[in-house]
Amino acid sequence: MLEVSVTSKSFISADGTPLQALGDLRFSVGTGRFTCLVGPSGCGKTTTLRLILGLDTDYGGQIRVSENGPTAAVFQEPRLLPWRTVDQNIRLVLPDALAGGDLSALYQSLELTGLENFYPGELSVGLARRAALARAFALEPSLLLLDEPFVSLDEPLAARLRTLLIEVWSAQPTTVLMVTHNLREAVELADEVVLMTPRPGTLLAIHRVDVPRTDRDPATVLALLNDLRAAYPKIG
Amino acid sequence: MSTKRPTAVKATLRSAGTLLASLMALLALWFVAASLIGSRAFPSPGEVLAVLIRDAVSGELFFHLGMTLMRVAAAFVLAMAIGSAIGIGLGRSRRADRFFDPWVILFLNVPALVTIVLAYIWFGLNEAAAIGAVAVNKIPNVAITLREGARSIDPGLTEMAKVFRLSRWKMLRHVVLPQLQPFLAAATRSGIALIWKIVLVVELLGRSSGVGFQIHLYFQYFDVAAILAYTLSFVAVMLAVELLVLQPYERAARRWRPGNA
Repeated sequence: MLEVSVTSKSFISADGTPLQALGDLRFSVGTGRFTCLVGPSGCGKTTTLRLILGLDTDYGGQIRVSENGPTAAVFQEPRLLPWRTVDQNIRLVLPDALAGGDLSALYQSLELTGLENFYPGELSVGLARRAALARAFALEPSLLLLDEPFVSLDEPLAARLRTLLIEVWSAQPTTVLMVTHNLREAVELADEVVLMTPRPGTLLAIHRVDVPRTDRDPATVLALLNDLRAAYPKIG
Repeated sequence: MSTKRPTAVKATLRSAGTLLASLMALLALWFVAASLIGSRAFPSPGEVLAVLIRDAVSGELFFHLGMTLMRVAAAFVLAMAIGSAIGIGLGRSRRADRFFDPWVILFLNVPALVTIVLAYIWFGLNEAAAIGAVAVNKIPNVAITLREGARSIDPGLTEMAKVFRLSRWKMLRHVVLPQLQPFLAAATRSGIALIWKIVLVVELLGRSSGVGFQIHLYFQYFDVAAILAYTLSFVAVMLAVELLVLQPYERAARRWRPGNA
């Protein structure tokens, strides 16, 4: 379970003026639930993820993570170690029990087979992103945070990776919070969509998607998207 | 890779050939100049070689080379360890850097000779003072290089390591050290070149062994052939360190960079 109750978060700019990035933002993600965090560009989505990850502790309010297993993150940039191969990058974050395991099925599903011994500098951006996803999945996390993981990938690949994400999520109980600005992607994947206002980001609404994931064919997703837009005209 | 290999071998052979030709030309020039001048103060390559063989046979050459090499190694390890620790500390803390920066600049500009003389006066004419004095001369250089390195650490990768809860050891070995490697290599390269020259001064002033001591001894006899014999053989040792240790290590460390050939 992830409980976020942030009251405010500000940054001090280089010339000393404070900039409020987040206002009142409260939501929770139940254990094993898939939640998407959606809002306009610059509304503080990534900042929220950073607070949850403990990378920034200077904020008002509190965030509670009550999960037993490890946390994994997929950042906007792949953040792979350039001096380690794809395979080394992935095994590096695994505990000893998993580090020697067979990852070929995972590589196969992410279409990374044959690229295990390449260095990240030799990969395209899309491949590097997939390696970063593989790293997060291989850890078998109980809390998985993703920051726009499919942006800048071509749509067929993004679609395949979404399917894969759902497979990984279904295979083991994982609590997922995914940041995206793509509403369609959010209603396709999520149990709940947390909508944020423009900066300073506050909670606009929490929208439940009740249609079972297996029934979300393109037409249904479009209908869900239209429902969501009708309910919250402000999000456009 | 395999298609590149024959050309790589050819390139290595060609550069080895050029190196050999260049050295032979220098030797020939020396020989001609020495026979034209014909003075004891400017001996021919043959005379230098004779001294080299004489002292090699008696074992004296290897004893003094060994002593100097030992001092170079000890001072180098000491300077790299302390200098890296100081440099990384300064690179990570802006406040510490602001406070200690004048100290670094001060020590950077103290002449090596002064450090050596003071070390001998304060700590006596002993091995620890000699090696310590050389290390102190080199520490500020290492510190400013590694300070730059610590400043260039990618915060994105540090955050990744934190999120994935990498152990301190894994963090150091896989995240931090590879980023510092180019700076460590730069400090090593400039360090070894500088340190062995300072070691000769330390030996000249207060030790009774080593290449510096021998040069001092033969200076009193104005025996240029012996001075050159010792100098050239130690240059050869340092060249071997460069070719057999430093360059292969750097090649291995650069392997991951695209287009590293």
